[in-house]
Amino acid sequence: MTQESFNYSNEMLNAYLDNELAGEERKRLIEDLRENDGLRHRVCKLEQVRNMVSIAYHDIPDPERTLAANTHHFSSLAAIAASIMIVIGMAGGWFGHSYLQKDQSLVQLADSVLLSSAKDTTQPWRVLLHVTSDDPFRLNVLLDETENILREYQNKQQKVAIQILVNGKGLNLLRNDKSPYGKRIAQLQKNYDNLVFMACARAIARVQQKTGKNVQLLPNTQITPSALSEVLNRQREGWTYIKI
Amino acid sequence: MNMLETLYLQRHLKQRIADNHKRLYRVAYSWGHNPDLASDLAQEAIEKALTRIGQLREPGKLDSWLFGILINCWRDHFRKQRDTVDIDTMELQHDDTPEKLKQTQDMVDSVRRSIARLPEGQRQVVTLVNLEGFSYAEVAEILEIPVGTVMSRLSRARNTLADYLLTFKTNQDVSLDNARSGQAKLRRIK
Repeated sequence: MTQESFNYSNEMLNAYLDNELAGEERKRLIEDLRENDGLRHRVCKLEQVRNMVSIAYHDIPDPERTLAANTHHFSSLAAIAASIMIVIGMAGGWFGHSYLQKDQSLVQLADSVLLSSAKDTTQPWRVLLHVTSDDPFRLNVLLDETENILREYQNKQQKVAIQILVNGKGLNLLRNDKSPYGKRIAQLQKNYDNLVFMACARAIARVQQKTGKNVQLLPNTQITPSALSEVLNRQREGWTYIKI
Repeated sequence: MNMLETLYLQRHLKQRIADNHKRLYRVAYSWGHNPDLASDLAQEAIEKALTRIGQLREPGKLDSWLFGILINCWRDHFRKQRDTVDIDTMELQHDDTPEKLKQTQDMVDSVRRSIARLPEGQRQVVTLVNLEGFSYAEVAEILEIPVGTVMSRLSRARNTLADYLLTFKTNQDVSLDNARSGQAKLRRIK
């Protein structure tokens, strides 16, 4: 335990949670989190608040007013795009830039194996991974890190339970007709009985209403009436919540 | 860059601005918890952004530029209005609430109500960082304040929210307690 472990300001701990802490500072804080229960408690408390704020505005209704009047004249975009490759390159760089800024939760997921090693090993560690995106990069990180955590715990003969909950665009991860990860998910389910995949019934209903077709899910997918309710219930039960 | 490229870039940026409608609405909603006002402000911000697209010098900073316009629309609105908003009478809008989701709804309302109680500067920082994932530097740029102020406001906001939310008190308890202690009087939101 280092002396600094007692001296972290809340600003510093928030910076860690918001992925604003880099390099040595971040590494030292993660090491101190392993050693210091008080410090871990402070981080958990801030993380809990952070998650509650995200959840509280996750499901607000869409704005009533649409932008149809302002957007219809952009429809010729595709025709111009084909002829100007250099600008597409610039736009790619720009998207890449903002993309990286949204990956805080992925970083936390990657930190999870390290952080979890400090926990009480007699109790199972329970993690809820909430997926609302169908971005291939995120889904690959999700599946890779999930497998890492499961393998790590199996090797250490420690208990862990992971629940992957999808709604919104995340539903595509578990849709039979959309997911490119069917085989991998089936393999994970076969290897680890402490891994559960779950879809939100409201998200399924929305897709069915929009497309007029039944949504077929991958085998062994469980269904919960509401993702939001599931998240809050799991948080109340003390599960670690990470939004992907 | 030739004219055609400039034209494409501007059209591309305009599309990106329009695509941000829901994000702007969500943040405006989290600041005022008023769906009509949030809708107006998001619309106004987008209209201003579309007409001022030529002023955006760095396309990579489109998001922070756009939210900077939103904050100016927010400030202008309350500068004109100068009215008071009683947050205790504010009705927090949400989807239909089946009986079995009541507890969930209580939690969501409790968080929103606690955020509504934060000083405006703290509320804006916490929602820009938390809901939109802006970096501290970007929030500093949007709100035109130093990064250190962003960090201290965020820290105070999350501490206050922890005090409100990480107790066994219900939303009603918090509301009533504060009302009784005189903290929850009419607040002018500038």
